[in-house]
Amino acid sequence: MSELLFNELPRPTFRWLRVNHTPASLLGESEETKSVLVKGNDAIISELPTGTALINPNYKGANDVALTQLVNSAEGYAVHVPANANEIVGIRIDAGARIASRFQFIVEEGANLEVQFFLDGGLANTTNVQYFNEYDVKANAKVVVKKVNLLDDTIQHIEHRYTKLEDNADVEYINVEIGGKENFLHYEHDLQGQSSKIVHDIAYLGNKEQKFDIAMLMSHGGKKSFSDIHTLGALSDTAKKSFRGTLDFLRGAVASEGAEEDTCLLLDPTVKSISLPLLLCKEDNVVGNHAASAGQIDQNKLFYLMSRGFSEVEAKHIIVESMIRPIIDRIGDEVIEKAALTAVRNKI
Amino acid sequence: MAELLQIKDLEVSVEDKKILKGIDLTINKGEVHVVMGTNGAGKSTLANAIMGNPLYTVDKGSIVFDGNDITEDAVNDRAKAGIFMSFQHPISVPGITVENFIRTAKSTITGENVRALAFKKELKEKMDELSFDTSYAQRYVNEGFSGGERKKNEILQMAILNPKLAILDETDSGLDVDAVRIVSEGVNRFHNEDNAVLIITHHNQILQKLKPDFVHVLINGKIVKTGDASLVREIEEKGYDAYKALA
Repeated sequence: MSELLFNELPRPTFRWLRVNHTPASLLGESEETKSVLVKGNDAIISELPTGTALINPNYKGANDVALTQLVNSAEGYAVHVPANANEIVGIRIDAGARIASRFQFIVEEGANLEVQFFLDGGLANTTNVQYFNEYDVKANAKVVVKKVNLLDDTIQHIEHRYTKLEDNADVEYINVEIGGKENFLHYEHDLQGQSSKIVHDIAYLGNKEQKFDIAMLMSHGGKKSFSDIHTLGALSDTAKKSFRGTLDFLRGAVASEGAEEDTCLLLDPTVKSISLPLLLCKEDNVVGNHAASAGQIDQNKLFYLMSRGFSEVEAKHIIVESMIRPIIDRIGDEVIEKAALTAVRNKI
Repeated sequence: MAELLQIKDLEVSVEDKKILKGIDLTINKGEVHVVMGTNGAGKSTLANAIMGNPLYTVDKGSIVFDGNDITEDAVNDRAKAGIFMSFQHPISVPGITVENFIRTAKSTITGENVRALAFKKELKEKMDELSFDTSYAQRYVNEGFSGGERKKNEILQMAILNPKLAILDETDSGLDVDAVRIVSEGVNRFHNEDNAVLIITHHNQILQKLKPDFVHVLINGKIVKTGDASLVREIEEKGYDAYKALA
């Protein structure tokens, strides 16, 4: 496939900055195979037929061509959580083959859903793992999604995720992104409901030639809606990270509040970290905060740790691990947490 | 008494600015030394230079610890040799619990495997002695701790790592009266004939519970006067202005 433009900014900035999008081609063979395990209450899980309509027909994903192709060709899973029910769904993607899949979650009023999303594996040759997650979170429902990516470094990993939040819907997303060769992550969260709330935290750790290309749009439509984005991680060797975070306050989003923060630890001078926090506002009475920081290891922290006997290398490991660990600790599954920590320790 | 630390003609600069201008100091096992002085006199620089902070450059002189010249040694090698520094502003280490941090540090310094159950017991005992809520053992190091809790955590680490020389850099600053008393008692419990304590301070609150053998007045990068514990009272009465002419 020819070159595509991934994760385009909702409002482009100067072209010469070369940050409006990321050009890339879909990698791997064209044959599509499912290797996805979905576990949970069978009564709420069903097949999602190819071509099923999107929750938001206007959602373009990381790239609209790639997403359209996925929707028109891939089967997937539908998860429908009845009102006031409490459910846990586990999804494991083993990238032993090219993956193209789709997951559509409809969480009815007052229901609670936790999704544990785990990706690992890979092939000797570069291949593509692409999937589309949609969440329709009805009034007073709560959704927690914990995703851990430990894919091999041969994988081009593309996630499209769209969320619609109704009144008082409460969503918490946690991503631990450690694996993958190229990671294109596109998140669009539509806070339509009054007092709807979403928190999205992403921890990443990149080395060698890894790429993390993250786009996040928080679209505030409902009154008193609240969003908080926090991405943090570390890069070494020639790894690259791009973060395009947009807080969009639409007309009617009175008394809404949004925040975005991107923190990147640069472990080598050859890494590249791009951060584009964007604030769009059509409503007066809102609060939008953004912060971005990229820097090398704090020498005072290094001195403190070394004064407790740790060598410089050990101290740097502790600093990197200590950045990511608080997010890993929130996964809540001991086996997955341990696997993630081992992956972190193997990389630094 | 056996000599533990010998500093000779030490000159130290930070970013090309000379801070210490020829320090001579000898500390023997079993002794408590206090360095007092005005803000900016070089007290914390002395502590950092002994611990080996690479941001501080030794231009001249030597530091001999336990018979070995450590002037060029890395920070962690000094820690393994038995030097501990309680920081004026302890940093936080999110993601690592207090228990895990101290246990790993102890294992690194001693080179021995520290057994979990025995360590838990020791940690609880030491925390109880410091009136330190034991639930903090499972919290991330200094994350969300108050100033007093951070200082207690420093003294807790000192008690468990059991160094030969403990340097307390402004440990009493920012503490209320009760916290100063608890910290002082912790230092008293730690101190014995085989180790030594170097206290860096600019006020005497912490010295009401700790009885120093030697008090040094540091002004403008030089030790201008050394005396016994009575010097603390003299400083209190005369202020530091009386010593500035000696620098």
